[in-house]
Amino acid sequence: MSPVSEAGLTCLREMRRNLRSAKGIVMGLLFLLGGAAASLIYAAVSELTNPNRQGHDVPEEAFRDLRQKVWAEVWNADIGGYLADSPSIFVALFKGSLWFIPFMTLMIGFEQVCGDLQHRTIRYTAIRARRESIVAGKFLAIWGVVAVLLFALHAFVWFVTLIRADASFSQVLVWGPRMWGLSAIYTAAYAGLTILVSSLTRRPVISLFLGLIFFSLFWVLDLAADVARMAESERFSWLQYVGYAIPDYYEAWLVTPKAPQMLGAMAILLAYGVGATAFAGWVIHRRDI
Amino acid sequence: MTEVAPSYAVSLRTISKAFGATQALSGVTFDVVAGDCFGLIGPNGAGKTTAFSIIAGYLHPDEGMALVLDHDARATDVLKARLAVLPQDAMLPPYESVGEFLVHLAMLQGIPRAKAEAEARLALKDVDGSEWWGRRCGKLSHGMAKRVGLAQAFLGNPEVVLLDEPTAGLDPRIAFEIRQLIKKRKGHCTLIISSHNLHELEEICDAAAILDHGQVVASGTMEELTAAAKEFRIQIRKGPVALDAIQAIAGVSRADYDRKSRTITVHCDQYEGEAEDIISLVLMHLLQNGIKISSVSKGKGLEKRVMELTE
Repeated sequence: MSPVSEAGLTCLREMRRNLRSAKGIVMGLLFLLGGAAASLIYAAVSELTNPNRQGHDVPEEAFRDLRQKVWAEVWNADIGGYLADSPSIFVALFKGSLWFIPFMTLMIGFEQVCGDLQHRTIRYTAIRARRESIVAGKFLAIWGVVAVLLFALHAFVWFVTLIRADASFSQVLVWGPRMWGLSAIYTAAYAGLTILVSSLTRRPVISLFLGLIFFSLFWVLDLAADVARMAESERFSWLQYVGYAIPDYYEAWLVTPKAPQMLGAMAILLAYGVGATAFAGWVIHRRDI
Repeated sequence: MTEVAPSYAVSLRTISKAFGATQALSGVTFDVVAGDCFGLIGPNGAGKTTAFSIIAGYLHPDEGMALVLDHDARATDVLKARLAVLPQDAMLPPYESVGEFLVHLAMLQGIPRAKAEAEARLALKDVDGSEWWGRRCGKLSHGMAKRVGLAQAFLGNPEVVLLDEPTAGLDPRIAFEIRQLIKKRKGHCTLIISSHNLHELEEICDAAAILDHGQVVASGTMEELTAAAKEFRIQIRKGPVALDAIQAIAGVSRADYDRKSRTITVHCDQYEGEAEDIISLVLMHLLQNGIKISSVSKGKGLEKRVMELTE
């Protein structure tokens, strides 16, 4: 059997296990609640602030300009112009999900490898499949599970958007799956990092703790890189380069209208996930189980 | 006529393994003939489980080489479905049903999806566990979990099966049933069994290695280990025993009598015939002299031999 088949079998088993476990069900509910909350907040804000909802007749162009300004403020003018055509709830959902994806991925996957090492359950599978394939299968499973949960979250919002007629069907079809797809690509990097953290120890609690430290450090470094960039300080210019090593840096690249840059970001995030998984596979291959 | 060299299913060559400051194995070397049932014997901490884990490819030896079916023990891709293990201390996945677990393992070892369920059901039936198919592994009793462990080890008829303490912690009835299951498999594959139950190993195994403090202190066929051809014991109901007359029988080098246990120990010479011939002659002599015999046993018994060899 090829390593790909081994990884595929492992992935399907782990996805089934995760989605059926109490943790998976709770996470699924949380994601759906998140979608419901986002939709409700959006609906409430839109009812209160959209003059057209109160009988006025503000042209769509004015809303487009407003969206352009807001997204240009968040990212840059190019991106603002590009995302101005997208329903704002979709972009807000994308931006918001990037905040919680690292921690959700960690919550779902922190015990994927170390849980099997702790009770030596891995011994049943490691005699039948290459250890690297097992690790790769677990990476694909975490990535898949988070992508499925994100889909549930996004789909809920698409549905509400259509029901409330806040966007046309074609807008939902064009921008909805795109924003979900970009979130899913971003997840790959953190799924790989979660697997790596989980392979470094036998104890799930230590894996969770390490992951929290690791991801918080990323967040702090990314913030520091942003501040250094904005301050244009010569003294801290090196911090800007640190940003390149952090998946969060590529958020803006994912929503840029420049196709090569967007594809580059997707490739880098996927490479991040695959690279971290390969390193985890190497660790597990070398260690006694 | 040229003698054909036996083919080995497992060969350990000068294997050493340390965990920190503790030397678990030191220069361990032994071979397991293909098709044999081989016992790994030794007290706690002797290194049995470490040796098992190295043969299964779970642990890297610090030195030496472990070969299984002429391949490095860690070559999972070539040994898949040919080598199987009942690990002593590996927990079954508690969240998964027994059926799902076995089907997944069957598919991982290359059994096509269409056949995997049938193979898994058959393996479970062989351990009398058909009714546990839908039960979660975490809900199984210790004895049931051990049987499911055995089912996965025999799944797909592997060529080499390692059973680490297969009856440890089980009540005598279940231990007996598991021994019967293992006996049923004897002759169909190479079995390597580690156990504290020496009577069990003496009963099942063709050969064994005795480990102590991480070293092999003896290895060979069960007959060689127990000196079965060199010594036998006769327990009698009452004496007197004419030891001189027994020592005069052809092939007998020495005979001792222990009054307390009423046991005659007969040591044999290098003798061209079989030990059974000498036993028959000695028994005939005793019966002719009106001595009532309680039992006869060949060799020292594995337990005594292990006690002599290990501290």
